[in-house]
Amino acid sequence: MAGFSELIKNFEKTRDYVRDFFIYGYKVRNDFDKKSARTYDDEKRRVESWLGDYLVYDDSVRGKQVAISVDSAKIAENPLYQAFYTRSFTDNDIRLHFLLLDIMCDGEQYTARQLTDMLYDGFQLSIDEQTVRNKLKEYEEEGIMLSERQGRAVYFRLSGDFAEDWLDSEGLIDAVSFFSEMQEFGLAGNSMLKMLKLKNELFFMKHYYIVHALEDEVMLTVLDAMEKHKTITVKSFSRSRDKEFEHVAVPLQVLSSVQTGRRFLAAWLPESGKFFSFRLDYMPMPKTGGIFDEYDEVMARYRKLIGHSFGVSLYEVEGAEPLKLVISADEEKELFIVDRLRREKRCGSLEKTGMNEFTVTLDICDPNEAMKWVKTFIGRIKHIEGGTEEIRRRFDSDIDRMYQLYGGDGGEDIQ
Amino acid sequence: MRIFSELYGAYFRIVSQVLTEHALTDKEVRDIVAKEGFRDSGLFLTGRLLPQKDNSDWGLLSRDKAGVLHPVTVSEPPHVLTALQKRWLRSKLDDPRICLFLDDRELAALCQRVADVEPLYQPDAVRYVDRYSDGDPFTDPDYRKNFRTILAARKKEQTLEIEFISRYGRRITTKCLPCKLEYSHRDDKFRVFCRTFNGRTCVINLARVVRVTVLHKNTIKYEPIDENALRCGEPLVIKVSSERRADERFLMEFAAYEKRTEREAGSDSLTVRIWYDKNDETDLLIRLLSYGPVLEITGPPAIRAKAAERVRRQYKLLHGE
Repeated sequence: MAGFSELIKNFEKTRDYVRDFFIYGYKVRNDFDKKSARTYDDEKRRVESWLGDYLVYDDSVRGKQVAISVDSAKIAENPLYQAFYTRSFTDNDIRLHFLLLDIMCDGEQYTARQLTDMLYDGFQLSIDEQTVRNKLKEYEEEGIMLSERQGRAVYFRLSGDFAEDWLDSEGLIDAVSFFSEMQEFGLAGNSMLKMLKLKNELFFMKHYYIVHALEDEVMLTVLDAMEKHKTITVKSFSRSRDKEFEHVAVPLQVLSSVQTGRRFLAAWLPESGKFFSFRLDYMPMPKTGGIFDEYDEVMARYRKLIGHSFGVSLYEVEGAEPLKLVISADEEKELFIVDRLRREKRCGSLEKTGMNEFTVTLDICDPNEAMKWVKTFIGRIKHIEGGTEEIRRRFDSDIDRMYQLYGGDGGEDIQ
Repeated sequence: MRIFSELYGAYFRIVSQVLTEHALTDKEVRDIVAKEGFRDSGLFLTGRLLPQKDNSDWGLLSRDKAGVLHPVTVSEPPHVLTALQKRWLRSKLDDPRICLFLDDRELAALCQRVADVEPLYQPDAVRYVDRYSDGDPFTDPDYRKNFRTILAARKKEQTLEIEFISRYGRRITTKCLPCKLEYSHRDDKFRVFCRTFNGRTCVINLARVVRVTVLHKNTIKYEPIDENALRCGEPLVIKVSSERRADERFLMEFAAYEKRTEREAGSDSLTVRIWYDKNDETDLLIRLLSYGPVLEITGPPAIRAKAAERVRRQYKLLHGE
């Protein structure tokens, strides 16, 4: 396959382009200046091939914009999974896959030598034994094959776990259909359904960040290191993305926001002795390191800290006081506001502090993190107390600026 | 164990399907590639599948004298599950929502099947920091029973009588046909979209359902929910500045919406048009206001006026009349 191919070897580069088309729909060709224009053209053509139905084109004054536009609540299958079904392979990879499976589906076990001979005798495929052995070992790692040593010989057989046997009930197919659209590794479920020519048509997802699927490869490495208490080396970038940093980190937990779409990796940085949250969507594939001996001790400290974080911030703001949000809500007619406070306050506490008045107290490490949520109550906030002076001053200033923005008191905007 | 692997790839899947057939024409191969592949797969894949005079194909199909194609393989390619797939399914056993789909016997059978399989990740490996705390009671026996009855009726297109408590606390009984099940990642709740006798759509929160009865007569005909019925007439028009990186935060937060974005030359702000369901208008409004002065709703005028009204009320709460 010389020249352009719609398949790719490495997901990293493509991940960035797909994310940019999906999240930043305004970018034009010149904005993708990290790589050559040719690279942009190839990546765009691939995305058009995989996701053509979801692409929209707009002519802006800056040039032609390409964007992936989709209302995720109206689709039953995450279209970005397509990007994962594009890995390139060699001619021998595909020949060996189907011919070995054909030989081995009799349930018998064979050595690499026997299989090499059978490939030649049965299919006239001349291939060296080491290549066959490597493929068998690779498939053993992927869980498709099992091996058994008998004396000096290693015998391989096909795993007996077939999709048809595992998904043998309507209930299980429904479960896999549902979970195939969940944020973590839904792709695994989607690929199971595709094996059996099935697809999710029953469950639709709201508040669904389909773009998280693009992070699954990184997540797999991170979660594996987390499980084994190993360190990872993470690359991060400056805000302008012109400087690159490397950190050795101990992954502790993935912090996922179902409201802002951002996901972070909470980690301990042994070199600087502090906790830190890395954005997962910008994280290149990390390298796994050795076991971190003080994992349990650090995890215990983390549990305490995250227990009083409003979101993903692991930063203890010096001198911050508990933040009190005093809300006005009619006790009889506006109980939905009280319900909102109750279900959205996270680690905060809620109390009735007066007639038609309710107070949420947030004793959190970084009160600034709660302010976006606080502003969802604009129009009802009697006052805020505590936090820091800077937070209170900024809140007042924000309301003043918004008042001007929307025309003040007698402006054209007030009905 | 890889997630980006050719084993899950579209090409392997297409070849598997082709090799499942005992005899095919060239056109049938091309049709499978066109149906199952990507837009350009025909250009790259078909030539490697069909036997070529220069042997540049993969040698997986042979052509008989009549020109019909046959797989060189004997058996249908088996669908062997990978470790990733099994471990993923094992990790779902720790998710309380699994009991919505499986009865106790099926759950026990699955537990037994995956007894030796390590979960792909532990339940506490991921923390959903801002998920609402009043999610549905997935393990409650009544909830499970109602969910399963509604799911079965959705699949069999059965008319149901559903008794539920409205959000205003009224007990309502309705005859309807479930047409769509929706789960909200944020709310951690299921809703069912139903068609009623008069062709209207009613949306019921599963947790509010008291009783579900399957009716013997299917009096309502199944039709997919008209997704455009609730769509806003005019998109919201929003201007977002780059102050406090609001543009980047906004585009990520509203990624789930159908939208068009434009950055004007020389400007530090974006103009975004967002299409939304009318039912979500208030929710959308409060989320937009939460950005403060770094985001402005510029249209349509009626929604801008609602935003302005809330801001004016807030201003007066802080500064007095």
